[in-house]
Amino acid sequence: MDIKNMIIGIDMNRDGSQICYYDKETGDAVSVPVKAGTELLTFPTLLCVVPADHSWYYGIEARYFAEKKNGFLIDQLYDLCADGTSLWVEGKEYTGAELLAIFLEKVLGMVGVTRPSQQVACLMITVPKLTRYFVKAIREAYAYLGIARNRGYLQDYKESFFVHTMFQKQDVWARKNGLFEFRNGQVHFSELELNFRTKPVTAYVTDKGSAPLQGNSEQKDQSLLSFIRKSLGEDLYSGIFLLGDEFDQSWARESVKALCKGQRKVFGGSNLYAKGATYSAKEKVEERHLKGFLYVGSDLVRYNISMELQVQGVMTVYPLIAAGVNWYETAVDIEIILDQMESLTFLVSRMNEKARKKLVMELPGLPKRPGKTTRLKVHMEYEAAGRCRIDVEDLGFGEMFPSSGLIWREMMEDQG
Amino acid sequence: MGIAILCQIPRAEKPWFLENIGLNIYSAEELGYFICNNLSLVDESIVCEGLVEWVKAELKQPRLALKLHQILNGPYTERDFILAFLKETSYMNSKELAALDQQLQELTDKPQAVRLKKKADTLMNHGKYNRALKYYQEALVSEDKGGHGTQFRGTIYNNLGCVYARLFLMEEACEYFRLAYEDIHTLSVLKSYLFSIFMKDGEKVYRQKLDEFGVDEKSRIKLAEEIASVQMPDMPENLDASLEQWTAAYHKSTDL
Repeated sequence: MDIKNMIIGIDMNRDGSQICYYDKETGDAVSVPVKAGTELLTFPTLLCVVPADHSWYYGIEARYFAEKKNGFLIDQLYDLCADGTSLWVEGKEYTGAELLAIFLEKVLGMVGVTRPSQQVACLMITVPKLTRYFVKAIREAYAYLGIARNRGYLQDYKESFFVHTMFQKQDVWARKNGLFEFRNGQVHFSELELNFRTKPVTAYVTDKGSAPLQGNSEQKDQSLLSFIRKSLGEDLYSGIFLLGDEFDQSWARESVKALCKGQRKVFGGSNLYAKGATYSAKEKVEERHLKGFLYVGSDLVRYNISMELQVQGVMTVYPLIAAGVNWYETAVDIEIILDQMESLTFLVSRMNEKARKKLVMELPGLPKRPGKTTRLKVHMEYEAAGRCRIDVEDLGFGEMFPSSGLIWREMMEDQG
Repeated sequence: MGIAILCQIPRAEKPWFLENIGLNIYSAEELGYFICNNLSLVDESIVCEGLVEWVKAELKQPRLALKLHQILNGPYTERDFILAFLKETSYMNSKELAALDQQLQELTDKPQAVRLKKKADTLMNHGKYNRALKYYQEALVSEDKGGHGTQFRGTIYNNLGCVYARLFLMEEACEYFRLAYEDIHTLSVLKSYLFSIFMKDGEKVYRQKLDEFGVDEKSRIKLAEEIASVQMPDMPENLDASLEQWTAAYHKSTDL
């Protein structure tokens, strides 16, 4: 029986990963510890296969089995996915997607999911930055696990920060929010700003730089304090988030005092991205908590693309891609029939603007046929932020006018 | 200026087989195009429950299938069925549908013999010779000719001659061209007759027939030039394959 009631968020980066699920009873995202009874939430992004019995292990166990049981350790899973490369493991070539599917299957076991296709209502994976290859790898991994496209999603860390913040009380996000992230001996600052004068309210997350944190406790505190003053300046912030296990109040006394100034609400933890991903997953399937807000990230599609088509006998401007979604969520397939046309014209308009530009796509070599006997398949998909690929395939017209097999490709680059 | 039409009905995995011309149809739009261009072939082989089932199962259009089913189960005409189908497929706009409706009406209003001849003509154009023969013969014996006389009959004889000639049945072809010439005294029909005689009995008999029909010298020269202009086909490199291809084409045209 299909249950499909699990709403899950997974944070995955090069070094470590976390998993969260949405607890309907408490109405909040809950992080799952690596070991029961501990507070350790992050496990290494590792996989290991033991050749003797071809068994797979992940996280801490992966390292153990690699060291003690001669297992083959895969420590570049993140990069394999991000770069679209593959790896030979014990005489077999695995793509990043295949390995990711194995990893996810194991990780999902932490929340009791053994049949993802039947138990997952929505899964959101968040990673530091999405590349075209990463998007493909995650999509393929979802497919391997039987998670349909409308139940498997992905987003970058910045968007997870935005969603996490928006799921806090309103006084937290009434003004700007700051995020100090501590990793690899450095502190990074990013800022979430909402523009309430637009409709929908637009949200921007901006990187504001980083600083090293070295030396003894006092020196680290002074470095952080200096960075906080420089980052926050005189601006008004209603919420500050401190993220990462490398931060500890014991050495950051002066810094914490500075952060708490002006009735700012300060939160600490290590699971902000995983929780943000879980809230996003919930938003996708259950709630429209963020209705009225638009996150304007670097992944956002800022152009509407449409075509003038005859629909139900009437000429209509038919929308193909609507601005306001992330580039990796855009994919559209339509089939059209040409009547006395030898090229396609796309209408492109900027988000919230009415003026449309025309983009003509020539179809060289398209066979001459009577009117209404050329059927084309049009596939549109953003390959990366700001770059949309259009593939057009000549389908012919059944046995009467067989397909030429021709396929044309056009790249549409966003104009800033 | 051209337009593009959005296809809203998915293509079928399993085709609908158009029995009349032996063609597989994979989409609502293909069927729409076929109907618009072959109105005379719209008959019980298209307007039937089989098509309704295909619309439901393959085109995934249960609502349209139900509508077509209801039409079939009421006091319907083929026109009702066709228009209901085309309207739903969005292949045609309202102006085109209105024009088609008029053509359907005009066809319906024609005498039965004319409709049968049109059907046979269309089948001949699609290379379905045996089926064309059947409908030409039915047109000849139909009592509903609407006042059409010897010219109409002569045209059918001529077309029958053409069909038989394409089937390489020259005996029958000669006979029908001769009958056609009795009804229509045109040089074009006479030429068809004489050429079929040439092919069946050779040049000697052909010359006798020229004399018999009193063909003048100027026309004889013209006919001779036409015969001389016929080029001998090149021998195919792979004769066996070509033979197989020709045989298959012949069988297709005869439904054998």
